[in-house]
Amino acid sequence: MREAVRYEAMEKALLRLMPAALSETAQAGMEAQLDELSGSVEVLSGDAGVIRHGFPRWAKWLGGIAAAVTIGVFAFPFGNQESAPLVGIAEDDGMVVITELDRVENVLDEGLFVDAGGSAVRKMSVRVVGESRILDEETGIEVTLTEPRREMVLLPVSTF
Amino acid sequence: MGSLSDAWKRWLAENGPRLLLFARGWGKTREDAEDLVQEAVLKMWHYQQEENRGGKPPDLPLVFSTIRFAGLMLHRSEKRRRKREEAIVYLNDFQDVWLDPMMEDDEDSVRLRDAVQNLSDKLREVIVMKTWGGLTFAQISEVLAISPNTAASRYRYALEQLTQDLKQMREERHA
Repeated sequence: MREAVRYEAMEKALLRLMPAALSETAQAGMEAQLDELSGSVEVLSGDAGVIRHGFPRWAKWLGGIAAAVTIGVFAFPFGNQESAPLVGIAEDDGMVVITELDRVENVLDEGLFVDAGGSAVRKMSVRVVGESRILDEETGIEVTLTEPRREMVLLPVSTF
Repeated sequence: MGSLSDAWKRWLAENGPRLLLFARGWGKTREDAEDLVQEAVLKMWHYQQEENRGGKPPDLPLVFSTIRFAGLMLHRSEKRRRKREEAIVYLNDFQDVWLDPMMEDDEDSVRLRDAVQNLSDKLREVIVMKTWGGLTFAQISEVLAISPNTAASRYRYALEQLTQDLKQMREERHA
């Protein structure tokens, strides 16, 4: 009984000691990691204190490309189109383009037309899918961007 | 998923200090201990995402076990590293404490803190889990893979030793 009382006194004394808190850096690092794991925030490697809210970094310019493609398709629906400048966008943000590939999915003959100069041309509608593999050097994440687009090709016709 | 992240952050804010205290028994420095806590939290996250666990924050005994396992791994790699770097002398950071007295002028608490830090690993981990982790002897026995009776014995022995240490420190002070 006496022993129990003595232990009780020691237990009370121990409870007067508080465990030291995690350092701010560690706490922030772990919280950022939790955010990253839950998919709501991305941690910039090498700087535990800095976090960026929102989508992963590549999603930012992925959205930009999508917007550019959309604008391109709607602004120039029947003209010859160049592919979106993926390389420029990617390199600006520390991304490296590994491969770029244009794949023709479909060709449709839309018939004969007369161009502005009075020459006969055959209008071909070509559906192309641009595929770019991009590497984020910081995180090692590799992203494949597919960019479907429609191009109009005007072929001169010399024989009927 | 945001609310899940928030739940884990609240859990970390509540339990981080006691996990850190336990990890201090395994890490040479505060940074090592914090790394162990972080490693355990990461492992626990993935573990809790598995089926039927719902992703919620884990129970403390499981985290203590994970820290202990990570600590053992660290200890093994540290031993290997020390063999390679025997010439290096590590200095103690005397400001780097494991426990903070509630009142700064509480001399007994300061002595008790030192006494806790000086306990053997086996006794200290039981004291930490019981006192600051709030674990039962049954839970401690699972973490340490010992019987509940052994856990209780170690706890009593640790209290006894702390009492003796404190008494000795007081006597030395008044001598």
